[in-house]
Amino acid sequence: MESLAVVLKGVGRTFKNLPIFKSIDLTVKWGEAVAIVGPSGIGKTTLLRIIGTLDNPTEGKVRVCESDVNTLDTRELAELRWNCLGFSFQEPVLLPGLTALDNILLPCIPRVGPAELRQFKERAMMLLEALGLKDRIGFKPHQLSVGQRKRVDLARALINSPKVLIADEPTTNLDEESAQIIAEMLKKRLEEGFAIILATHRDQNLLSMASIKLELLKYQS
Amino acid sequence: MLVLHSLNFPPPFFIEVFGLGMLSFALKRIFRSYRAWTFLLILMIGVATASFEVLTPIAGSMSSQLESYTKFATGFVTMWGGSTVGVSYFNPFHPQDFPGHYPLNITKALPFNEDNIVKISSMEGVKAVYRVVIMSAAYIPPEEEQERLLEERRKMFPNLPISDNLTLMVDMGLVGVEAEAAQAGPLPYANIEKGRFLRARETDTVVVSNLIEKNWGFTVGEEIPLIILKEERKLKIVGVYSGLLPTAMDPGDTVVMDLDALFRLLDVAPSEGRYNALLIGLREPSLAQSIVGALRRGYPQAQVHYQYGLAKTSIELLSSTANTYDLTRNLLLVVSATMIVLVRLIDLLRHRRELGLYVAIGWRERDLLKYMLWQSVIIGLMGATVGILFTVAMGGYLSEALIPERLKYTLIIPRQVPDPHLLPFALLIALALSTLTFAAGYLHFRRLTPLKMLEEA
Repeated sequence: MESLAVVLKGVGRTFKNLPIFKSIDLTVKWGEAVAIVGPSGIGKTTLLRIIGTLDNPTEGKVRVCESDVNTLDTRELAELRWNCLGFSFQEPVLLPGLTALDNILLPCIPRVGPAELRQFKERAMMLLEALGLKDRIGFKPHQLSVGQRKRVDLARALINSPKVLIADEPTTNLDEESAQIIAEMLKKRLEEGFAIILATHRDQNLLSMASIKLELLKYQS
Repeated sequence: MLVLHSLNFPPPFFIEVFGLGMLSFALKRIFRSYRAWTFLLILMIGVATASFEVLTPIAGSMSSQLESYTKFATGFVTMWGGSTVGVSYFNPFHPQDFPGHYPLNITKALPFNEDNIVKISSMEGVKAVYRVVIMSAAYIPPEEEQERLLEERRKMFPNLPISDNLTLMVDMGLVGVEAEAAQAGPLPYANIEKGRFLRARETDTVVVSNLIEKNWGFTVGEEIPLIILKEERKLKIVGVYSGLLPTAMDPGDTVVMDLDALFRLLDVAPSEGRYNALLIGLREPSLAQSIVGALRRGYPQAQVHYQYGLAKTSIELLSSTANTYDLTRNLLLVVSATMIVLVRLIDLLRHRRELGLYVAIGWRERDLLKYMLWQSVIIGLMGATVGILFTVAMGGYLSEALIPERLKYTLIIPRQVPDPHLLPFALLIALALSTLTFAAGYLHFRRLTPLKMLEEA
């Protein structure tokens, strides 16, 4: 049987007894990109969070990197997040006291020893360079623009070379240059055979790279 | 440096502005950060613990030393002949001048002799008897003082013709005590303000009352000239006291010296010595009343007082001060500890988003636990250590600053530093609090999904 990056079966989520979406089926192969589209508030972020194991569905099954997310305990979930998933938030969540480089290295700190951390540091530098932030390595979040923060957040999601990258509106509210850089980076990931699931409004760059477009519609009972 | 100086660096007010800037920066950081608050609170615990570790022994030490001074457990009795005698009263003891002739009512003025002392010493319950001679000696003030005194005298007696050539003499108290009495206890009022007390068998040195210092300007290291047996004797001052004898016996402007030394000055053989006061140390407080009764019956001319109440009150006061310090310290510890737990919890709740991020990016539960625990421990340890080190450094100063000046020389209070057990104790408190808070925080977060944690608190 072919290995799949993400499989959703009948996934639904309600919030305070109000269904946000229901019965979503989705299969994502390696090297495939999925663009989740739809108007604001429709549940794109919620769906991404469920795939990213940050939230639980109220119904249905989620399978990521061959692991049945519903049955995993906290330790297994943490392993899945570290080994398989990278999550780039819609609003970048960076620690204000840390530099761009340290924020990127955050996932590795408890996981690797000093020697390995040096390798991750090199990788972080490469990512920063690729994302056009080479000269912002030592900057703290408040010294960065929105676009730069978003790029740092993306770099952190990529630091552990996740097999599945989840990016929540990675180019929204960004200047053209930032959006272009991010799109290029995601394209490169795809070419390397990783899966990408992203939410976007109407970024054509992102939409064009997606082999699947999942449009969420307002749920009507 | 020269270059900097030539460039007028630092510019005027640079240090002040820089200092204020740093202070304002530090305060901003502290008030914005709950971790800084926690640190400060734990530091306060360290300071409080260490401070009271310094304070309590001071009160305890004062209490126990006063206890030893006054023989709290036994009490002491004073016997007072009832009047201060002049130097001339001792003339009868000079056989070469008045062989076998006692023109004055010597037994009334100096009621106690060695026979009495032997008798009193043999009474049941009496531990020791110390001899005291309270007399007066003349002091001739210097010329500038003479003028002032003459002026005063003229004002006081306007109708009395007072010659400018008159040399006025002033009566000062001259007291002979056994220096051992101070060590043994029955000199309860000796508050040495400057210098030290007399040492046993020390000759030609005196301690003077603070009235002498105030009225005549004599202080430690100087010599005070007194006319004793028509000769001027210069006595070296080694201490200034504010009280020595019960008020009834105290002659005011007083010079106190070793009894033997005084007798040598007076040319009185010790075997011929007579005394107008005795200080009697008792073995058993329960025997005090019967001893006092017997002394009153045996020596009706003497005033006999049982000096127990004052000592007891003083000791009780000091003990209660020590207890108050203890209580305050414990209260402060409890309040600070509660504050720390609360602030730490608030801090953890405020940093829920941060912890949510860690979960979201793949930190394991144990990574999170380790992080939270280490954070708590480091803050706790740093606060406690800095607090204690600060207070240890301040300990000497506190000991100095907290003891009233007038008590410093009377009560020998060793330089206090916190006990060695303090550091582990404070660290233990800090660690316990940190762990407690951490456990509470952890139990709270364990129930939440990363998403819930990532939501703004």
